[in-house]
Amino acid sequence: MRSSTAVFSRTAACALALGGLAAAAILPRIELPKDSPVVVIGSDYGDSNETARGGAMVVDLHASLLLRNATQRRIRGITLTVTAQEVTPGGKGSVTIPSLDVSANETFPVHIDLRLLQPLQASMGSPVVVGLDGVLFDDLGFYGPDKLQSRRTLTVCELEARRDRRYFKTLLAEGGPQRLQNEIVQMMQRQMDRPGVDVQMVRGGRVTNVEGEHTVQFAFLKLPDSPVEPVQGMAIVAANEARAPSLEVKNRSDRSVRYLEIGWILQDRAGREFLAGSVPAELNLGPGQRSQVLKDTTLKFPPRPGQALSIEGMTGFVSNVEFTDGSVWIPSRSDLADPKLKMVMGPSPEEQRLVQLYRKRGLNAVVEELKKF
Amino acid sequence: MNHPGELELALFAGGDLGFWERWRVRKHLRQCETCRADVGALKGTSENLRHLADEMPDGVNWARLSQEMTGNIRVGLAAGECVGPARLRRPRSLAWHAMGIVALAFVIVLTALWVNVPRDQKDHVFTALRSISLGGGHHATALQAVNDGVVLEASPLSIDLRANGGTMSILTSRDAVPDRYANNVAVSVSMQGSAGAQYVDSDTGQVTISKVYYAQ
Repeated sequence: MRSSTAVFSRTAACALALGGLAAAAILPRIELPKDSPVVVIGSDYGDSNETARGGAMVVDLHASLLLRNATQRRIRGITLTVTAQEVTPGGKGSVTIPSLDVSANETFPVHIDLRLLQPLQASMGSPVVVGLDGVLFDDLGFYGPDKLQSRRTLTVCELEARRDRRYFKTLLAEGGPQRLQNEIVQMMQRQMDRPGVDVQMVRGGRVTNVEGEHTVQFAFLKLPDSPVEPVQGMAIVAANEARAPSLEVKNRSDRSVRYLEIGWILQDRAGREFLAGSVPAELNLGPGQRSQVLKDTTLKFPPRPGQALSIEGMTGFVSNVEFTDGSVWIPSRSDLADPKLKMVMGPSPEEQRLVQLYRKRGLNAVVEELKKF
Repeated sequence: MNHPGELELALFAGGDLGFWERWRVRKHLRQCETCRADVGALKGTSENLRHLADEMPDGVNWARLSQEMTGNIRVGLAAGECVGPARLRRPRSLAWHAMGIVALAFVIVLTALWVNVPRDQKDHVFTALRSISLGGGHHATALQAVNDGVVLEASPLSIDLRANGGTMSILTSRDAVPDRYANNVAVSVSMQGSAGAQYVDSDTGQVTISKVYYAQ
């Protein structure tokens, strides 16, 4: 019955596509492994719908799932996959909830707000599938297929959360609630002041043809504890476009590295700085070894009214490192205290959560929250 | 019983039939007394001619005479072709002319369109054709072709996917974001082929990171 309804709705959508208007309700299929550490207690798909547009079906998914922790361990983060069509650009998405603290048998909500693409041909009879990519526990143990490297993402988020909570607790212990409040207010101010830019990214080529290209060398922020040191690097720059970043890194730790990310800060002619993105690299870098990190990617920063951007300089810094044993390194709060990083780096999810808690419920709620950990 | 023609019998008698024809006539002669008699008569005449040739006067070179005769026969045949009734060429149909003109005009219009269509639109056509030829775009090769032209555009309010001249918002403006995330959205793009938005629930503070992948 359900499948025939789905086929009917999709067929109707296809038929109306030529008219330019089509909409149909959708009912995703939830597929969790038999031994999944979470189970679905309830689901609500609200005003989710799919609309034919050109040769594709645009799936607007607005779902609320209520999940229950079916294990005896505390869950710190979860990543769900949402697949409309595996190989279509824009056909697959994910929803990650970091900074959780879910005890055994406790329930927690997951909101999915995604827009995905599905070829019309493929949309016939194949529903959107919600699956599990991974769950991170409080002992940094992980469960899941990890197809989207959610283990790394969730581990980085969890380590950042621990770091930031420790920082808040230190402020509270050293300077009392007033010191903590001052810091939270400054964080809110930084979030408001952080420069936002539009960015276009294209892989395997440039966004436009621009004359006057020249090579710009990276400057690097030295983070004392970083296990990987950027040695040198450059990218090709033309006006508001930077492409093909090339970096040489050295592993100065005694462990092998399998993944790293280098943050990429750009400076414009007016002296403004902003975080353009990060250059990720999967490699096998033994202790003391050097390696090249190359990316065939172009970033372009379209001008906003009155804000034309011309790239003048670049700064790189190591933003996280994953070792072959699965452990992860992230910058410390003292590393992030560097004035340059302080201005451009976005807050961690945990910092966002605690600041929002302060906005909504005040300082005491933050203090009480910190006591839980 | 079908009897061979006189010409076939004459050629058989002179030893000028092809292999299969000779075999067929010989088989017939075994059963047909009449034809066997005809062939015998023809062979006799041939023998007589050979004797007459042997008795030709001195100074006549039969071989040369034979060549000249053959040449004259060819000339005669060619002359006959010239004076014979003219082969009539079938007049070309007017419809074919019209079709040719229409086809030419079609090619000109297509060329003009192609020259004036923007490149991204051409890419769109190419991609569509490639998709059709590959059976609906389910192949990895088709995906790679698409990926080469995909541009991700992230602004503080939305993430757009641009390809083949079209644009689609993956994560739309704050107006389209549920109220619980009001003013708490940060968007980003990754060089590994994904675009994401980080929301903070204004009521619970729960952080949700949504990502859409445009490449494998």
